[in-house]
Amino acid sequence: MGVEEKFPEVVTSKLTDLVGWARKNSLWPMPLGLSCCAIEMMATVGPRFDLSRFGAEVFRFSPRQSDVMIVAGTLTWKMASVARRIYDQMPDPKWVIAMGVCASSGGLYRNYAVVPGVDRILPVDVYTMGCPPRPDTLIRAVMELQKKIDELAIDGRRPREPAYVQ
Amino acid sequence: MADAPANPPTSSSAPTAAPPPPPDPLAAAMTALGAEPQPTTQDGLPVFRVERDAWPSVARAMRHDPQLAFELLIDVAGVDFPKRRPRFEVVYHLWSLTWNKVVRVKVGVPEEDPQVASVVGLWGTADWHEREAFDMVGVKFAGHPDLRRILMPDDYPWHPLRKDFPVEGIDNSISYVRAGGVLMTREIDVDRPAGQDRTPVDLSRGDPAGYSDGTPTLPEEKAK
Repeated sequence: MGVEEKFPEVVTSKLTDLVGWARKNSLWPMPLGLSCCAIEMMATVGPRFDLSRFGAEVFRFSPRQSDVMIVAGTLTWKMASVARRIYDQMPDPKWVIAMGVCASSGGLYRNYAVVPGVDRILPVDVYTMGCPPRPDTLIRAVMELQKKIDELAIDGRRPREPAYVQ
Repeated sequence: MADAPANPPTSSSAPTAAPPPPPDPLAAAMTALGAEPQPTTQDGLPVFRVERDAWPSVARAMRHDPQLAFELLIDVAGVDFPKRRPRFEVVYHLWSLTWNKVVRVKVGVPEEDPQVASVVGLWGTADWHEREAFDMVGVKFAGHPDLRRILMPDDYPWHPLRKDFPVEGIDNSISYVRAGGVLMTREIDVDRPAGQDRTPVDLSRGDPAGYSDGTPTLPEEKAK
């Protein structure tokens, strides 16, 4: 019906869907490798697990070029202001994956030096369990994030319901 | 941390045929400087206790006296003994490369005036070690060129390795990072609907009121 009947080589869509499709398949992560989770994060982009199948293999060590911050590891209070500053430097729209239990809740470090969950300083979109999580789990987190980006309005505003990957 | 009983001196550690003989009179030289020999511990290191006021001159002599020649500072540690007087102790480990001797020097620091002379001018190593001891235990090092915290954030109000400090931290939340301004320049999550925000973790065990049983109050408590 409509345009597609008359011009079979044309596909119609909503601009929102189109932008969301482009966004979710070209996530550029900002790796915040703080401890052992970072090793699994590196494995995730390696050939065995190959995060590039989901378009998220371009790790930028510059916040200006990144969409999603992967907080991989234990965030200390000393590091907290740095992490927040890096997040602030990322352009909108941007997302945060809390990778592993340390980033999600402080993990086994219940002490004065460790931030009990990076959601104290960052709006987390996907929480990931594991100590450290396997690369599969991080891939799952990216896929959950892609689902959320699908629902994103074109101006970047969206419900901030966090996802939990187990 | 109690001192172990003294071991019999071992002869195997004495180097043979070094050009100058090993300084057997180490204890004598240290005593002449005003240091008080202490029973050694299990590791066999000679231990000396030095009065806080005498420490700068003793340190200078240990560094520059060719009979002592402790060129290398291995470690500076602050220790808290809550029931002892003086409460704090700063422990130095010094190594003489010339004489192949390691020595441990302890300086007592009272709680009322937690201050000891810095040795950064003699051993550059002391810089970060003294900063760490200041950060963790709260001993101030007079004359240190840059005595800032090194492990905790700059505006952290406590010294967490003191024995009366709860390991969970006090008010382990966003609040004490506020003063930096960096963290809280923006609302944390403007998009998340109200009620979705995480409430602060209950840290009642880390509550200041819970553990201060006559022990000295912390700065935050005084402010309240």
